[in-house]
Amino acid sequence: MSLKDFLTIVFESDNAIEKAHNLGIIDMHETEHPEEKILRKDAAKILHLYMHNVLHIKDEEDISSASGLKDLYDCRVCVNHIAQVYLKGIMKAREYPGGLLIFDSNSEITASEAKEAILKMKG
Amino acid sequence: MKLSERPMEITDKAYRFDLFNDGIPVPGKKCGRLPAMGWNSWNAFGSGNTEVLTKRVAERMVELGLDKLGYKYVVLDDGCYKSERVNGLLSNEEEKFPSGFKALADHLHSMGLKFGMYNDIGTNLCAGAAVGTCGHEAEDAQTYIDWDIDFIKVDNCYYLWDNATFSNSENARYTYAPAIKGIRIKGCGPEVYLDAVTKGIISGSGAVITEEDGTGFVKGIGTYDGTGPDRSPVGDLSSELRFSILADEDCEADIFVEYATGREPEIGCWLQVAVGEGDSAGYFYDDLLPESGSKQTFIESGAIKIRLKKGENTLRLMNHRRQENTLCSYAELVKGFEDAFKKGSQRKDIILSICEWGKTQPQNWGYKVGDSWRILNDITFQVGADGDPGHANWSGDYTTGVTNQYNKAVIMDEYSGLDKGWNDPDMMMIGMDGLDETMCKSHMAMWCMINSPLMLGLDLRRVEKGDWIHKIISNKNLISLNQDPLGVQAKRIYSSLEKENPDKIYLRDNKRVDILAKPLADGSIALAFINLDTEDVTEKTAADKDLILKYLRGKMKDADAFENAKAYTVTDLWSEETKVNESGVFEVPGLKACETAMWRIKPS
Repeated sequence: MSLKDFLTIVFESDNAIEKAHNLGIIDMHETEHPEEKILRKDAAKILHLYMHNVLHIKDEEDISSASGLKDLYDCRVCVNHIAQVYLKGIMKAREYPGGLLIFDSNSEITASEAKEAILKMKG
Repeated sequence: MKLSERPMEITDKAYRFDLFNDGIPVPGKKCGRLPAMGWNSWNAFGSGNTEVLTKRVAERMVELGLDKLGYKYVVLDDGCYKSERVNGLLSNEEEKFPSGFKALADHLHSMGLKFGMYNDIGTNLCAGAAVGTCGHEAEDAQTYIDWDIDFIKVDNCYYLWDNATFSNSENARYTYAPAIKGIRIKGCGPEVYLDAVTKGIISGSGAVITEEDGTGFVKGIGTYDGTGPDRSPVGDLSSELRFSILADEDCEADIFVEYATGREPEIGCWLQVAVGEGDSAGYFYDDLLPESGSKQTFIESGAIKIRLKKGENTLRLMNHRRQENTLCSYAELVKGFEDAFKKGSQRKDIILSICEWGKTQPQNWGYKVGDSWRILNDITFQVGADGDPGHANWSGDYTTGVTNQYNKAVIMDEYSGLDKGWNDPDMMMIGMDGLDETMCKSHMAMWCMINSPLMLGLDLRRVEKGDWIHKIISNKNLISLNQDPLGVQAKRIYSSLEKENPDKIYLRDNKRVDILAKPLADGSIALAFINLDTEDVTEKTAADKDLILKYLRGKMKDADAFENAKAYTVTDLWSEETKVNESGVFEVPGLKACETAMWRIKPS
């Protein structure tokens, strides 16, 4: 799924890229590459900032319970985005044998995962 | 530009692990600087910092009088560059920083402030922009000089030669030796096979003897990853597999290593072979070995020619590349600056703030290239934005919290100094949500006592002259400890949880009181009693002059005057109340939760 496709579903609009940029959800360099594949960490960032900037939903203050995700701290600049969408139940972790929970932030988000997350976010 | 496929060849011993303790910095690294003071945009605004916000914060620094107290550097963190190079060069993100960085530098300099920027030794910055310095050190150094920077913080994401954040996890192959079963030696006497488990000697810490399917071998030959808080920074942080070899005469031999490769922590592909230690060590192999196919499949290497001396020789199989690679990458940037100055650019001081998060134990080598080195991953991941102060913890998960950073930094004093540089427990979180006034006072006290760089991380538009935040960050008494010209980080001389070696033992249980002592240039000392617990402590805690001298004697300006003083003038560094103490015993009756009592003690 591309960044543009993902944002189009989030904003339910054809000019979603522009709207997301104006709302501080994506940076200028992202507006220049709307065809880029969207990774789970990118989706977490967009959904978190949409909740924060558009829906004005308050962040979870204590994110320590998200540390059950083995790879939480692998992505320094997206730790909080991942923790917020995970703790609010918007995006799920992926469970591996032995009960290992991984967010899999560098893997591509599937279309069904994206639709489910956006649906949950919008209540 | 095509990037190299492997780390650079090390031709100069100065960059070797064996010479980390030689005390010699690389050309261009200046010593004698006190910890830098200023403001960094990350904790306040994350990637959302802009020119407008930066200028406003800079104005507040001046309006609040912080510049007069030493807060000079205004540092742009991640998120300020265009996402790709333009004609091979760095450039500004035009929406956020429309005037460009030279104009911003000129503006800040005209205010009497200094200008700092951010980059990375990898291919990309942590926030993603593909403008890391890797392979571009020379042109980037020239660009930064053209932009008239005074400071640069250099991160470690997307690093090619280690399994750093956003790097290929298989880069661990560069930083760990293969699993080793044994070596065959041919020449210099009868051919022998030396089994790693029965004849090898593991030095240092980290390597372990393992048995799988009836095969014994040694793995974990490399350097601990210090990004997380689990390991003490003191003591051996790497290990080698050694063999003692007796030679009847000076001679050459071939060794054949029986090994299995992996691409993960503990079992890698890169092997270093040396004979002897220190300056006289001879290096005979320093490269990837052909991959064995799996980490269970042991194969024999080709011949590695070594030279032995008559008598006992120490043959070392090792991998110190985690530290050496990172040192070399930072050194490339320092060289870039130095070359630009030599080519005619006006020489100026540029502070290098190493930000590899303690991953490669920079306390061992950081002094060679930098002015400070981060000791852990970030102090908070819940950074602010315009209108959002962000969130901080007193004590949190992983590395996130004032005490998480302090607990490691407080036993690292022997690695810092005017002749080296400073341990950096990250930017301060004073003024962010989650820390009350008492916690913020202790946070400031800790960072001042341990000679950390004092980088404010809050949105200064939220601060007013005389409010509690301003009173803390502008406390001249505390700042003077951090900036004391003697330049000695405080030592922990007592902890309620560790009576024997409080200066060396890594403590992470916060149900305790620590006492730190710091010698000062005028012959006095600073003493801090820190209650790390979130419960009040009602018992008395004390330090007498004998305890202070036990730990500080060799570091004090005049230890004899302190020892023989008939009385001491004790000044509370918060209230400025002064008392005379004739007993030489300094005590607090109790401490509130997270409270720090701070005194300056002058012999009279």
